[in-house]
Amino acid sequence: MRLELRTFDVESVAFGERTVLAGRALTISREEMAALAGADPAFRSIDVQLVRPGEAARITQITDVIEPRVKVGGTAGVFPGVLGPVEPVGRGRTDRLRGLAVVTAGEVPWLGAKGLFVAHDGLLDMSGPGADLHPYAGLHLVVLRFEFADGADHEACERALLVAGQKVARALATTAAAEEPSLVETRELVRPDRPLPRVLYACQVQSQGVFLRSRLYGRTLDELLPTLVHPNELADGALTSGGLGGHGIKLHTWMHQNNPVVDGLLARHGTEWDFAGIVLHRGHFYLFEDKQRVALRIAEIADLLRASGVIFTLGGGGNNITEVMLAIQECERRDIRTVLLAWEHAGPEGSDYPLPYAVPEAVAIVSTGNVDEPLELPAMDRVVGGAAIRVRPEVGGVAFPVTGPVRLERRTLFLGAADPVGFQRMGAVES
Amino acid sequence: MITALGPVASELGANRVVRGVKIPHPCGDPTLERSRDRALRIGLIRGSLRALATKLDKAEIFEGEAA
Repeated sequence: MRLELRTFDVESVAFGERTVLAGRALTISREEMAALAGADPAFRSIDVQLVRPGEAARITQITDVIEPRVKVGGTAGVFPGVLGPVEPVGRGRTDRLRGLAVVTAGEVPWLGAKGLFVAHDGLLDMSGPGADLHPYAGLHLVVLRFEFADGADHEACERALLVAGQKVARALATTAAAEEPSLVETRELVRPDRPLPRVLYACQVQSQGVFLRSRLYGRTLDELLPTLVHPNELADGALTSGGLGGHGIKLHTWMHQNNPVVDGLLARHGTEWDFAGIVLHRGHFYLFEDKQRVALRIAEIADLLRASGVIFTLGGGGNNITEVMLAIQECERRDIRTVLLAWEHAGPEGSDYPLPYAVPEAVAIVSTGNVDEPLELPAMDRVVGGAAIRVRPEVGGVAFPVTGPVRLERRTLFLGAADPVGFQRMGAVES
Repeated sequence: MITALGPVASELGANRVVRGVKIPHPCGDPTLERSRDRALRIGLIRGSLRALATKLDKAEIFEGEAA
């Protein structure tokens, strides 16, 4: 599977009459994008906003972030199974706009949903201390902010948001066709010319029901048994996100497209190791036996692929750590070394026991941040969204103002605050 | 302790563990018809009482009983 990935840098974005890329300047027709994104009957209205890198802006109620990409010169398309037919991707040529992302957002009505399935609101700052916590502050963002039609249920809203964001992302990427790429990479897992340790990436995805789902070729992963994918499939959008809740540790589609663990493993494939592929798996199963089944499948796949090591990352938070810890145990028992990237639930001071569950075999763990650490955010000049977001759904919802300074007692509302694949520019000091 | 994650509870030091239904509802099953759910819950309580009354040398996992 060989993919030519062509990168086109975008350095400025403005609204104009036509949607066109000239050099590194992108002009976007606001009306055209609004018509493309807002066509679904689940939407009552759409507003398209541009946010600059590092702008003192706060964006609220984000449902997904997507990098503009399009396949060119072949039959297959990006986001297979959602925007187009289920057909092989990860081959041929793909164009991507670097420095730009499409953001879908809006106040999804709660419609009486309870517990996990309340559409939790979140926020993201493009400057100040919050900007160091997520990978989007250096990007130009095209924010599609929706209002929802009366009578649209959650399934319809989720579907409409998913398709709208992906359609706009694909349409923006088509502007690159006549331009010169600033970078052309060939992505292929060529068999190394000498024996090297084989490394597998076990990427956990969250998929628990409406608005907490991931999809592979359009299929929801709520009942996923571990399955093997090629990194190029992720590059072409075979794996998509679409979720509200757990914002601090959420993997957006953009993060699947640009997963730094995948990029890092590809960068030194064939020189330092032999990248064996990605095992997608899901946590949050409700029985110990289900969790053990996932763990066994991951370990057996690693064993079959003759992996020397497996890198684990988390998808979502809570009891999903159990599947991963059991998988680490099963791998280590087969003499397959493991390393885990994980958020911490270490309490406000960072001094509590950080993981809900652990096994003695898990001896190499990299922290991606403490979800429980309070976060003080200054006021932003501009809020893209309403003046308040909704918190505390267990009491029917409380308005939480976001126009002034914000103090978050925990980081779950802040996008990327402890993201599980390691984008953030921060570290830890032993004390 | 009644839990769907019995082996985890044992490893964390719980001596008497009763195997529960599922993580979101360890003590019952909302998918069952009401009378069968009631029987299941009574069985879990009986299993728990039996666990409490059992002298242990080491941690043990108990099952619910038939109501």
